[in-house]
Amino acid sequence: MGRSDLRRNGIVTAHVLISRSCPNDCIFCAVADKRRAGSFPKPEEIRRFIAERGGAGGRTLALSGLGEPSLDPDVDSYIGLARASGFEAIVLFTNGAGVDLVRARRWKDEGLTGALVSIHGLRDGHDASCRRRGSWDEAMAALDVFRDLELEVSVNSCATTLNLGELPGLCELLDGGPLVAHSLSFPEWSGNAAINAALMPNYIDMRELASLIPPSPKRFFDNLPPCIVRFATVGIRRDRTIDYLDGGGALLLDPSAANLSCPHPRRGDCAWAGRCPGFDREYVARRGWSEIRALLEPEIVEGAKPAELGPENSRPKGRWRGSGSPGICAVVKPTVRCNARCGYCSNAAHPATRDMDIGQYRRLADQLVEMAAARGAREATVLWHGGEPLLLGKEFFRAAFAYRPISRGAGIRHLIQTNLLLFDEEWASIFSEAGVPLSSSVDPFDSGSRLMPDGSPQYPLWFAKFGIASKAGLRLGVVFTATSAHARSGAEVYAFFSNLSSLTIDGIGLRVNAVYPEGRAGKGTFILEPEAHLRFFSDLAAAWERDGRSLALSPFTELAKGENLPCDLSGACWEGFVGVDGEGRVAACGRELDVGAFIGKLDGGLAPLLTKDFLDAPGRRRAELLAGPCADCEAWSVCHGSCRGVAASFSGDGSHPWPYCRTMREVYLPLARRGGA
Amino acid sequence: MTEFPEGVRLSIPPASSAKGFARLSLRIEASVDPLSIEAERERFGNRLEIIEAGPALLDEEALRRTEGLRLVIHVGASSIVDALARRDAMDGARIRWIIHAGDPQSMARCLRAFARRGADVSLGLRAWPGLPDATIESLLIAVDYYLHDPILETPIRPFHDFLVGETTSSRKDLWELDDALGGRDYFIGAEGSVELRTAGRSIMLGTTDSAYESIHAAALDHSAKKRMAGFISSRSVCAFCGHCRFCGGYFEDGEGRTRCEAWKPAFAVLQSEYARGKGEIGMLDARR
Repeated sequence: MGRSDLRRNGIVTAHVLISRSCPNDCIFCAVADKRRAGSFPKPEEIRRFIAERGGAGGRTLALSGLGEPSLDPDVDSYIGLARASGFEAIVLFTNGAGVDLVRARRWKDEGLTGALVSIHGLRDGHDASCRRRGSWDEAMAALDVFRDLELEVSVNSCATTLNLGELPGLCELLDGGPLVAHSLSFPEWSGNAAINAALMPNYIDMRELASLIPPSPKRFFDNLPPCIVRFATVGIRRDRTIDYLDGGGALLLDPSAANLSCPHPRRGDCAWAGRCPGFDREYVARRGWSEIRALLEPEIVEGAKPAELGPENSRPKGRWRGSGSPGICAVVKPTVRCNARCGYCSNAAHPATRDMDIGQYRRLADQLVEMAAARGAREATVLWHGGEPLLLGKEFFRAAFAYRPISRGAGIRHLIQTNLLLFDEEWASIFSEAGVPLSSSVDPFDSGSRLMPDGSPQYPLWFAKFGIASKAGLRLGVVFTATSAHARSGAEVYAFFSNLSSLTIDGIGLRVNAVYPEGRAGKGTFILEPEAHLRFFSDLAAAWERDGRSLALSPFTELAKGENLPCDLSGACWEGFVGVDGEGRVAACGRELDVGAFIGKLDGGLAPLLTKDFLDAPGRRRAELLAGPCADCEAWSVCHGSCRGVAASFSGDGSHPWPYCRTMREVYLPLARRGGA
Repeated sequence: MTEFPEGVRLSIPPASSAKGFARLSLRIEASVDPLSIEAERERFGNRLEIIEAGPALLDEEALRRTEGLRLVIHVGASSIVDALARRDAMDGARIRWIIHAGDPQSMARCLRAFARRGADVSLGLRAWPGLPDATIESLLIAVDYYLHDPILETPIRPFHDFLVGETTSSRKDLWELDDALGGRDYFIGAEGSVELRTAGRSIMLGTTDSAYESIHAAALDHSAKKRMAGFISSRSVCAFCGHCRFCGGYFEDGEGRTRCEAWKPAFAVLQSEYARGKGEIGMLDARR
């Protein structure tokens, strides 16, 4: 390739991916697959590429990496060769791991002109996103080094759900010193980002983020359309093909080919037509267009100019949980009717009720968002439960999902627990359009626990419906309730759901509970004796560990992470939950509804029902347990005496813990201590 | 109808890797004269990609006739000396060696002999006429050698593929690894019937009268997800097995019976090793 060819083809920047290892394991790393697969260019290929492209008129060389570029043992020689070959600008991409003043000064002497430092939030968000403590300190130190040497320094920040809340603060921090550019990137959904899809932000998150970012002429969003963020955004330069070398050899990247073009019917009128980065192909494949369409209409960019951030200053190409405030979750049982007859149904004890009507739901939703806003939370959660909630019909849920009360920025998020037996493509469309994830209970064993009204197993029908939900790309959670029939099947349970997860695009989340003696379960032989409980959960945990913890398995995942224990283990559930039935009766949660422990009715308002005396009840129970049966128990931190309602179902009142203390000590506690989720 | 000599099997890779014309591999068994390769090359033209045979194929004349094709050579304990001698004489030839050695000592000897020469080595999953099935003991020795030999550099398949699948998002099951090798074992019957044969079962796909594309379509019905969905739907024994995502039910006979007793302990060792390694990395990160 000659100089004239390069100029004619508009190639001014050459990217070469050096280095084979990286101390970070970023959850969004787009090249992690290539690194794991060991697909690296050889040093001689890199030297030849640099020499040829420099000699042919390339102006800028970006030393990027399949690993961390500063750790490549040949980085010094590459920089020297690049300058000798004629490159005018030589930019090192780095996370800071291999940077110190001595090395950086040597690189500058060899010809380095600039650096792009990856800083993905403040300390906590960055370290969590990069999965290495101390990585933020290294990146910030590298930034200081490059600034001290007066090199041209840019910063790239990739948004994840773990750092979204910190990125505005990072912007303010970076604005305190010299900077050529700061790009805020929407993740490229490949490599680790595809694996950790649940931790990636969506386009709605990015719009919210942009509204919080302090404007600066040096700051841009990258890898998403400007109409999404209403902020300066890096545009596609069709006249600037990127000359690129990785382990697969040298190739020319067409930046416009990476993403999908805009679905807006008036996209041809957009000032960004031809320059818009478009939408991530894999993201759309997984989540569809509905969320994006909602953001687009009626936005059209009619005069904004694309940012001129060069490719040397940007990377060649879930859900935000907000502030972490607890908010409020209403377990809503809009009907006690059910189209199944499970052998262990706890809801069978619930007093008969009328079905909830849509007006009643709207009044509840209004109160929930008020309560969430008063608590400083971004959302209130409605968990539709039952009975079988789908028995209320499609029109009810269309109306419920369409009603979107907002109070001081707080809105409603929906979840639904269904047996799926009524599920079909139309239901899938309703949930997909509303972005509502599904959760469903199943038992693939012939244990007699999950039955149709005629006594036949639900499983064959359930699996067919699961296939519809999976095909529709809905986010799926599965609940498995262990009974005495499963005592020796912990490993098989794990294997089954791990295999089931492999059938879905995003994988499933699995929640495993043990049945408790309420409703029909109180009369049968389902209950696990303590020894059987220990054996089951011990085998389940061992299988999860053997599998490298690859399945999101509650409660083990939460225990290993050391945060957000599920309600039955947290010891602090009442503050965050209420239960509401079809007649508007309110209890502390769904389980309390089942046993008729009502604290009032919705008509008088939710807030007055949550009295100090009511909210203090878990504290009083905690004090009693710690003074009595749980005194000095080392497993308290992972159990907190268990769910009061479940404990009461065993002992008759909630002043005792549940009977599974050995499982807590021998399985849950070691898991929490090992940590390392 | 195409006539096939007795003992010749026709391998057809999945459609995804065979756009346009199907690429084929010929499996040459002992009863077939290696010289017939030339006739088969003429018959299939540039569709023919792989020759699968025993070490007897490896003489200069046969190599000349197979130039440009990929060779897959099956080796048992009794043929190892012969195979090694021929291999050393043909350094540089593009050969995958499939090791079949039923007893532990033979397995260890075969593996070391090939792996230390940097050969492309795989353990035999499918039966090969006259060669033994693996045993639990021999596979445990093999997996131990793969995991712990300090100077081993060459990957040993399918163990290596198992770990690669665990550590990347591109997991392949044993069927797909067969595809990567060159194609599943499609047996062409004397009357042109096309049959998919694996370690566990036989599935009729059609006849050679059918267009190759329709055979592909039938083969694709056995994609990894569909197989898994079948196991989970029917709740077969494989649905409850922790190794099924890698194995893909390769050893299942369609009637719920499996022939994976020898392989499961080896897979369990690999899975433990992976989990231990992942745990160590996690701890290392936590200490930093």
